[in-house]
Amino acid sequence: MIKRIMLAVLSCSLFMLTGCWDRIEIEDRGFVTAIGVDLVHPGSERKHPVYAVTSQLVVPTAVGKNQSQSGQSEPFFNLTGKGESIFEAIRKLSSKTSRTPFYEHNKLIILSEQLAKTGDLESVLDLLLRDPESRRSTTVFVSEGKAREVLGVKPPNEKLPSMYIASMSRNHFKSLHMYPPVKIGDIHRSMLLGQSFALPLIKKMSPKQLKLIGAAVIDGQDMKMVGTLGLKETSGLKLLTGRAKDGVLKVRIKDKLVVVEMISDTQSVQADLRDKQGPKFTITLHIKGRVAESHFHRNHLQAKVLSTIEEKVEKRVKQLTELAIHKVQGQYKTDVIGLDKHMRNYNFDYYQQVRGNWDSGKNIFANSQIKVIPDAKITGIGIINQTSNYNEVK
Amino acid sequence: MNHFEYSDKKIGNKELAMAVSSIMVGAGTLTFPRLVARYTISADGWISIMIAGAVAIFFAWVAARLASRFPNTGFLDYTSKIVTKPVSYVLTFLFAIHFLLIASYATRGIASASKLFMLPKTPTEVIVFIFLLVVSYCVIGSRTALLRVNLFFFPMVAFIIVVIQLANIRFFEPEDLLPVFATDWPHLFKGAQAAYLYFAGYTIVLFYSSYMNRPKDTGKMTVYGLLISFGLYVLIYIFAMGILSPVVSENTMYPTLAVAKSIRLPGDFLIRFESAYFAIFMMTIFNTASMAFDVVIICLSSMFRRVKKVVWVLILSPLIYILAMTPQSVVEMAMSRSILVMFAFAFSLVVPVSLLMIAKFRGVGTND
Repeated sequence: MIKRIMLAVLSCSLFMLTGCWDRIEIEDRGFVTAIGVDLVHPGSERKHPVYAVTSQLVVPTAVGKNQSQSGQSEPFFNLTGKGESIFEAIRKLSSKTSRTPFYEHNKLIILSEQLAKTGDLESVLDLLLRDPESRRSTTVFVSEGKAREVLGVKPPNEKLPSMYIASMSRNHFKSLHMYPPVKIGDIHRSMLLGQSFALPLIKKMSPKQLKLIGAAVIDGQDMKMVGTLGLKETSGLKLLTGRAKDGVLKVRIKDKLVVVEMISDTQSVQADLRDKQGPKFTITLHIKGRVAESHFHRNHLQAKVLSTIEEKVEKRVKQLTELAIHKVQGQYKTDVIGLDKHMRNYNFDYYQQVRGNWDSGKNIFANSQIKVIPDAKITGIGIINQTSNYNEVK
Repeated sequence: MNHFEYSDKKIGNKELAMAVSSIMVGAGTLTFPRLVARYTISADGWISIMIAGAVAIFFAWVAARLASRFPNTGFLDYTSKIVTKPVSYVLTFLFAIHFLLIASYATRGIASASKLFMLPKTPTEVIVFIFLLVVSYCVIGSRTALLRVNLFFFPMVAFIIVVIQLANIRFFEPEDLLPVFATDWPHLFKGAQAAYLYFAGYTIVLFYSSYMNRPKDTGKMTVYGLLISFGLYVLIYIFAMGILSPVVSENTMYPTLAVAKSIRLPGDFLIRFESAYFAIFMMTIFNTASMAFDVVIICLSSMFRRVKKVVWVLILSPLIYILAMTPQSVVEMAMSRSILVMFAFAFSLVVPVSLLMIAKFRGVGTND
């Protein structure tokens, strides 16, 4: 008898023990790989701004197939929802699909330029940081034009636009003018500390192609985009902040081109804070590079040739960094060079005094003097010395 | 001839050290960097942790000295020798309440965190209920087995914690640890106060030392156990500072999980590495909860000798369930935490010191 009762109890318990409350079949999941946020209506005193959120959902079955096999079906689809809050917009867009959008694998967030300039960035990013499905390593871009259109691009060699953007931005170190991807976690830190920052700027060039065209400068106090940096200024900013490793510099020696690949770029800042209202900063850039391509057909093993290249590199670095400084300090008056971070780390007392008046308020940053001292060293010339010695004067 | 090592109902040195380590490494590891960093500027919290650690080591040693004065004697018995019998009954009862609160707080902690990140649709009630079923199963069995489970789980827990921190090393920014020494002393002490709670769990030696087969080593083993979890906490803190930065840690509910989530292994193949973290959190919080539950039973059954263990489990587990479900929000969770802090300070600092002093003064127990 007891055995039978036990058997009945145990059998009933099977109902309790099978499966999981939160089970969602993988076929029912819509993996979101990118989010784009646009501003529909900027809002006014009485009205809240309205956002349009576009999620890019992957169709896993179509990703695996070849284009010819899959025929009509695209490996992804974009859905847009509108709302006064991002959460609302995301909920609205999920009513348009049979698959439950799942944001845990989201890789990108694209904000439109209009939103970055007039919208409220802190509020837009709030959900994307607060939600348990969010990931702090998601990277953030600003798009010239609509974010929705950037996500609609049909790249020729990648199946998903989001993958295309992610891989493209991963090449940032190869070329000097591509601003490195910025993680949303780092933006959170900048926002908490009130530090200004830059975000990579992306543009749709054609229905099939996107391009990173520089950087968007975001002011740390009111969290609005104040302007853009062109390709040269972006290069200068990367050099200034010591992130130009693997970048390429082109210099001219007697009208002949020499291309130098940077092996390392380390930055060190010296601050002279005696004048409280106009501090002086000296940024020393130690750049090591190797000759990648040379149209200057001379004996590269001569110390004189190398030192000429070094000189030209230094000159070029100075030129680029001064362009960047001119733009961010002179025009935008926004410290994306990270001098306030430097002060916070090394001169905390002074930092506390100027806090709130650094690149806003009295804007001490705009009055400060920034001097750049490049120090280039060519460490290698590749695996040959000369391609021809036609020009050589022995 | 030596007796067979695991045949008796005694525990060895390693078991005690691991018990001390694993009761400390519990639900607290999730929130630790936030609660310490919020009092200090930049990463200065490490100074607070050092202060808290030093204080904890000293008082743990005091508690262990107290317990090892009375080898093979339970807490109630030796306290009634030191102070009078009624006082010892009151003390034991208060300790029972303290550990009951710890058990329910740990249970609720893991339930909230797993609901937030893994089981959004499962009701908290169900998670707590099922977790308690497993804990009760563990507690109802032999006590030495429970302590040996620690010995089995804790090295895995420690290993995964270390691996997860180190897997993030390429995102570690030493600059985020600057400026150093920017915080003033009052704030450092506030931080130390917050950090101390995580190390206060060593009071379990007061109850487990009587099961030691080498009671003399109680002091040494307690300090060893404390040092292991102290090391883990320092590691967790420093990495949260270097990877998330101090301001972000301060504003992240579970900084340790955020660190685990930021792991990106090359190839982007494994991106949800934090699931491993959850597995070990379950294990370590299971240890914390079951040991705390077990100590409650030790306290109560020493007071009421005739009641069987099963009865205690049946009475106490619903009580833990109710206590765990009482806080309705994160704010109320924080309030119940501050009640725990008060208890912890009284029981881990005041009680052992005063008991040891009275015992020395009255000359009770073995003096070595």
